[in-house]
Amino acid sequence: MRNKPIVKVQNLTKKFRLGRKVFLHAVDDLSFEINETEILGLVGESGCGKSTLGRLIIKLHEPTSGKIDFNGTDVSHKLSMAERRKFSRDVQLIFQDPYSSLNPRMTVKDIIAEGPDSCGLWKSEEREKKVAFWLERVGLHASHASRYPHEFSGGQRQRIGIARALALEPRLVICDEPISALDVSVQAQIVNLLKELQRERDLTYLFIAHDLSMVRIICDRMAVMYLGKIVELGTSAQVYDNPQHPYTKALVSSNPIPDPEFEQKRTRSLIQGEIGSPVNPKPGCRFAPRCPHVMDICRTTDPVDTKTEAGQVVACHLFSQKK
Amino acid sequence: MKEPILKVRDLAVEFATYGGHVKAVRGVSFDVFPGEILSIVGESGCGKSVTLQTLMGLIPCPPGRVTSGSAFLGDRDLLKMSRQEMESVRGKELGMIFQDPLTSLNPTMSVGAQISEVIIKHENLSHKAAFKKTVDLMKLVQIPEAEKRWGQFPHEFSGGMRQRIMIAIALACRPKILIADEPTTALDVTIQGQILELLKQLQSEINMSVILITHDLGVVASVSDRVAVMYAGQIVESGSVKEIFGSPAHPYTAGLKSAIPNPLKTHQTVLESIPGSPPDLFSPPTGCAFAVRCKSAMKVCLQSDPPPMSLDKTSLRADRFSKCWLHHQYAPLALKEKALHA
Repeated sequence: MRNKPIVKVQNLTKKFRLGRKVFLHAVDDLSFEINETEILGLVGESGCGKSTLGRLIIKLHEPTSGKIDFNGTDVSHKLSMAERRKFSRDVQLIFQDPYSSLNPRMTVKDIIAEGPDSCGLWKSEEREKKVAFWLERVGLHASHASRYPHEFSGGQRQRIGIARALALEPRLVICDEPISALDVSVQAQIVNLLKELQRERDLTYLFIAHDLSMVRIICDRMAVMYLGKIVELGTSAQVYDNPQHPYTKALVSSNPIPDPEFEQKRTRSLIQGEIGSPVNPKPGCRFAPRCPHVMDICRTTDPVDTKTEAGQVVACHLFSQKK
Repeated sequence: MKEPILKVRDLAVEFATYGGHVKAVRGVSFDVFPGEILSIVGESGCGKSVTLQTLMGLIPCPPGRVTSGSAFLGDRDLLKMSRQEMESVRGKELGMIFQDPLTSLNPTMSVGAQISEVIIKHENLSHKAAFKKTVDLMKLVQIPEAEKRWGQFPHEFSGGMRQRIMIAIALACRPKILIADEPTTALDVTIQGQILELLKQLQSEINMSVILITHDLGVVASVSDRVAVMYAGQIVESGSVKEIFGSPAHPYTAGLKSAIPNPLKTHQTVLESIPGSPPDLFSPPTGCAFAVRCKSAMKVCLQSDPPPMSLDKTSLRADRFSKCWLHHQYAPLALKEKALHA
């Protein structure tokens, strides 16, 4: 893995206006990097802003403030038509729901070729051959090209979604929960396919998921989000095997493991309460109301990112005070 | 050996559709013992929900039809009950909680009224006594400020709290059996942990049996005593939770186990997937339904459906079996090794 960042995010913030002086802070002052040819996992509970972050990076949302650098160029302003076209070739998205993300009135052939057609990537005489190549590459059959999405199962549709994203030969692919709508045995097929393609084409993935075990196994690094903030970031092994932030600890400890003997011996550090509201959040650490180690400072001041002895970066006052 | 409180034998259910008859459940038999948690695991469309909904009498008929089988709760057959009899059993002796608490609660009734409705119907209590009992129940499922929240409506609760209300409704009359159909699938991991812990605690407190339907093997491992694995409308393997995870005896169970990520195995970087997809239940295959996806399939697997083969040498236990030809005495050992010790 080359440690050259392909995406650099600085102080990225996205607020959605809900009413007069009422703002939903979906993504709040985030700074991190995605390195070239790595798989960065992004985990967190529903409503923590992980999908919004993915959509900000691919420019489906305009950021409220902050900077996004893609491959050395600043893309945080509104893109012109030409810039957009170039940017879209490099960054693609795979959606969660394979049922609603494919146009039911288009044939598979047209779905896959739509991107390349609009960028003028494929010559018209090679279009058929390219579509057949991609269908076979993702494990479908070339003869499926003239069928419609409803003729396929969930796993097969997700394969079509992957082919559509990769046909543009992007460098960064944002996978927004690509497996959570699928059955267990099919999940493994799709994950293996994604990994294979990543190795073969030197792709970079931002892998958004809520399944911790899956992220632990396929991602190089992982970031844990809680209410718009990244609370912990490190290699998957660091974060999962030796979590530092109280929220990550709770998350890891409530993740059920498919091993009954381990589960029987296990002592869980369950946290009470539920995820708070991202609308006009109070100052201080977002996790403070549920945190078992909460101190006075947590309710008043935002914690800063601190590198711990274990190696990962944690945003928590327990660590910034030790320094 | 304890007597089972629920005996299901050879249950088969089909649905009439424009495309033909879907054989959703094809000969399912299992027992539920007092005070245990039985998990039924399987992928979507394998018939696990239909099986349990049939027992509760919740399958609309038509298009659904029970084509064979019996389900004895004590000495009464649930499948032969009249509507009135069923109504007195449902809610009182069998409780049920569903996957999505928002769509299964009535949005126009306060949650307190929904809980006391069950109590008033089955126990003939006055409204005042029912109110008191409801508040106690809400405290039992750990809802803070129960008196105040009695009059609130489902939309004012979060997902986890709604699921607690569902549990309170299901437990209102202290049922003998609680059927939980994917109770935590719609919830976040930390909330899932809380709800599972609550279910386990309540189960041992009031000593009821729980049938847990799920597709998450992690959840199965953390709460259940016994497990039945379903595939294409049949139970393909059954056993204690340790047997299912420690020595799976059906290639499908073994395949599922290696297809899910296990963070304890740090060297695991590639997941072993099961190729293909489940069969079409409009016309299920004549042989083993898993044969086309099985790497150890033999000729016989494609020709005839394997009977449940007991794996317990003393054969005192009927609940440890696998529906797989590999356990036949003439099956080649090498194939068995290949399929089960991946």
